[in-house]
Amino acid sequence: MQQSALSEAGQRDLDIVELLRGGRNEAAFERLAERYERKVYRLCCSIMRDPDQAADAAQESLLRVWKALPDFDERASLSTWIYTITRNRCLTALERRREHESMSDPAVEQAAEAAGAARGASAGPAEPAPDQLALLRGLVDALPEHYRRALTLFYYEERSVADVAAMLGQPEGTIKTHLHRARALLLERVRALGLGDVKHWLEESA
Amino acid sequence: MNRPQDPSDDAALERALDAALARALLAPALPAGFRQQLRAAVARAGDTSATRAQRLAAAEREHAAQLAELRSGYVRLRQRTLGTLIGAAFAAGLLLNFALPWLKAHYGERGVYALPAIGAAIGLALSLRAWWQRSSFARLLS
Repeated sequence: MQQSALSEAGQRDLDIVELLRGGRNEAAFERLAERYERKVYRLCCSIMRDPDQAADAAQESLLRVWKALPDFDERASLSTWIYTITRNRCLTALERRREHESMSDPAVEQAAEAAGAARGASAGPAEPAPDQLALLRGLVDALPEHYRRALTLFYYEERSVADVAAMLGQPEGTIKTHLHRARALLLERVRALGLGDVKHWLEESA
Repeated sequence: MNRPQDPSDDAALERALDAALARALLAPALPAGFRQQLRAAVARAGDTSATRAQRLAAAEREHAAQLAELRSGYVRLRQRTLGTLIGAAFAAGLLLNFALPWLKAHYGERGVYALPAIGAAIGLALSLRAWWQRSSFARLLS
């Protein structure tokens, strides 16, 4: 499945590869940026969590792609190559950020605060939580990192498992497993909040 | 006593979660001016799009061109100096051929030495000036 997705991506990027073979790097990059800048930014958002830092990482990743473009040897598909550069760039930026941060995990703290607020709000009879979507986002943020990335990208990429797999550089089967476990964990945590009828609460959120 | 979960309940719950997540996790829009910033960054990066090998080859080509220009200039200078020397020698011979009989006729036997003496004086003056300039330049550098 992933092979076919890769070859599809390869077919889609043939025009860019042709431009590169013809030495027209600037035209190739312009087309590449048009096609991939949103995906690169979304991948950065899913890894970095912070939109400003994600924008910086996306800029740096695409600049690195531009610099390395003459060295692209077509061993992997263009999209795989771009996503690999982006992931590496984000992971380096994350490592640098961790060096400057304390040991506390803001996402977990946020989720705990949101859960506390939701508990307070649910004390009354069937009143909807003040910001259910924020609470749900907080719970997603508190998921284990690989589940959170897969789940976030899955919805960013309009539920395309193939795209998520290509962007995270993992087999589609692994992504499906991560998505399944992420949803199960989310349901478990929503239930643990004691919000009453979970289905009803989720339907209100949606 | 736990009531066994109805599969249709599970499916409905999954659907509700999916809809809620789709609403909570909207794809972030690209920041305004993203492409312009990228273009500016690419422009700043300049010719770094070339590979290391390409940059090395370009530097070598530039170096070789400069060396060739220097060499051709040096050869031209040598040819010009040689031409000047040969021309000056012939001109001096020609001048002497006409001037010596004239000097002899007007100033006697001693008049023959006047012209070479003037030439030697001019040559020495030029040489001394050159040496003086060179030594003062060396002083300036030190």
